[in-house]
Amino acid sequence: MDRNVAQERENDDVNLHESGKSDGSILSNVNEVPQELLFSQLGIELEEDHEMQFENLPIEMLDAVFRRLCNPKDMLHCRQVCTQWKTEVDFILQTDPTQSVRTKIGSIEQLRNLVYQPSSPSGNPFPSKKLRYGRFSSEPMEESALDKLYQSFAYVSKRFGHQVLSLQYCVIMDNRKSARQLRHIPTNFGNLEELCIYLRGLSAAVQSHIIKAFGLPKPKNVNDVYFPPVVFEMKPGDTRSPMELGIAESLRARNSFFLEDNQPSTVPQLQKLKSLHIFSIDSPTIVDGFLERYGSQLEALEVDSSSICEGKYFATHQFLKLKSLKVYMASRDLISPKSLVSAENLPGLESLTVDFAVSFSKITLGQLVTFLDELPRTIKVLHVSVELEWVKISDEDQARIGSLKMFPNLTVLTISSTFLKNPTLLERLLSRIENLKVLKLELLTRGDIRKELEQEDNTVCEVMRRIFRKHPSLVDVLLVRNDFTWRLLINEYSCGEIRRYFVEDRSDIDKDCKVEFVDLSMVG
Amino acid sequence: MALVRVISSDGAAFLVSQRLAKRSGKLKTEIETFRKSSDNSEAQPEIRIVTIRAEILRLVLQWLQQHQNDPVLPANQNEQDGRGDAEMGQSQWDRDFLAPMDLGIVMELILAANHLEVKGLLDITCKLVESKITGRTVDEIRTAFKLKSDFKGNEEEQTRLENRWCVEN
Repeated sequence: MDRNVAQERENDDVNLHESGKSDGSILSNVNEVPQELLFSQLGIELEEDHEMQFENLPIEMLDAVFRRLCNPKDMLHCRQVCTQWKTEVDFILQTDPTQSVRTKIGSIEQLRNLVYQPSSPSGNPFPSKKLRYGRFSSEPMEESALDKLYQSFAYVSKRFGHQVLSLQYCVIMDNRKSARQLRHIPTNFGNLEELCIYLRGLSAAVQSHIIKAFGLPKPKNVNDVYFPPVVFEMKPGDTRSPMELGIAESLRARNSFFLEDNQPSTVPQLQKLKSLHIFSIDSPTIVDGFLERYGSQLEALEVDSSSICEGKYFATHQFLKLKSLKVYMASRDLISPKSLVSAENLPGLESLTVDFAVSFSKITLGQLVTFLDELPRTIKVLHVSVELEWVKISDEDQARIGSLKMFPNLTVLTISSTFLKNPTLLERLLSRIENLKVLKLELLTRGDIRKELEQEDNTVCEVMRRIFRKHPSLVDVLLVRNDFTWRLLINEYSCGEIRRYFVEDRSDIDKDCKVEFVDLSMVG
Repeated sequence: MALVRVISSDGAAFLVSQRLAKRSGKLKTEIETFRKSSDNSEAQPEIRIVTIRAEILRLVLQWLQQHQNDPVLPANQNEQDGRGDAEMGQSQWDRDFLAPMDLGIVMELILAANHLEVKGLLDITCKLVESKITGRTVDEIRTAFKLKSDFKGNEEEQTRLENRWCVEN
């Protein structure tokens, strides 16, 4: 292919390079033009030391560079370089929800640092306005230190609460102060947009503290209060077993609070709260309470499957603003008898993550099809982490997958890589997603992925070619790992690679399905 | 073949095919505006880029020429498909193209790519700058970018302390 460039004098009378023939590119190759000749003939003096300073770069370009930094440590280094960089980095940390840097207060030393160090010029000790408070680590900590840490939350919240936009708070079941101190959140964190509550153990007492602290409605029927068995240490002379003691204690706590009359709440509403994450299994009482009080303003929700399956509220109400839903430890209950995640209750949902894999729940193809059929068609990103029971595939299910309602908005789909073993089914599924751009096939197997992939490489490439041929919108197919499952199961395996399939030229797909490894850390 | 004349801030004129020029969002808009306002459909558009000097404009055109057959990426490609830029890959030609440039030139290229709306070039130049930050200490970053600390009093120490309390989520 000819590549031509011409540079003309501004007055048009001298062509430095005649064009000759061209196929539509620049008229003659700029590389071939001696630079000295080019500019001397134009009468332009090239500045020998023409060097631009980085500080002259407009703020939006600085922003573009900083946002590309993958490692938060690099981001933090940048805010130490100069005041302009600090201002820009802080802005990104505070406004970009994907930035994960947060200030951590999880020990007495960190607490001391926060309280006794002079505050920064802006008076804000939280660069990202994100705070993580409490003892998240399972390493032992002295009871007195733990008490002090949680008692100090009152002071920290009064002094700094209004500056925090995102709060992660850990409640420890054995430390009642950790649950009681939650009451400072609605009063002092008026600007809070995101709240994550981690519950290390759940008891009736913890549930009652949370409900009181946030002014959540109590369940109308006391029997709806989830009643986790709590094991207590036996006291001398007590003839009851630890389990019996625990049940008695839980009953006492439940009855003393949940049987009281419902009083109208005087706890202020967190008006700006739009993202809620409750990390605890079996907490329908809490989740139902939060959904009843905050459901109409939530845009993002992350909970475990049992909390919404066993609750009453999620299944019976609409969440008009909810755009993102993550359900972890998902079980079959989410699907039958009627999918909880449906177009009826989530009419504006754009992103859904459902992780069946962590709870080791296998589902049948028929259940998967039922689940997919109910989903709102507004979804743009769908991540279903599941291992299917491939032995139970009926002809009827195979036919149903090809007649699913179309997903017109879906552009990113993650499903199990085991679909590769049944390419016809995979193609039928993809035929229902006309605008798919990225297909992520998730590896859930526990074997040596690399060996497995190498053995199947030719077969997989052939499947990929077929997929690319039939789906013109598709840009990439990525083989990815379910990170959560892998961390949980195989700590010693630290595969840093995934496999990416793509085509550069669609006119030649049959020959040109390319494969490369990509650093896993680069993939969002 | 339809041509367009693109003139740099220091007066150098580049005669470029319209097909190639239209791979820049900015030039495409200018050409279309010219077509709408011109009575003569054969007239050759002339576009002055007052913010980009010849040396930089030449590099942009060189990059466009090399990548003339790439798919044109929408400006918000990554938001749409959930992938990072790194996944888009960088060719050996791109690496050779950028290798001899000092940071000053790269920064001018970033500005030019942004102004002319050439997303692919913007991505690789920003990535190069990013690589000058990744894994370096604060002093090394200052040296690489020829920047001096302008913190007053205990501001720098305070910033360092704030960073010490930070963790990745």
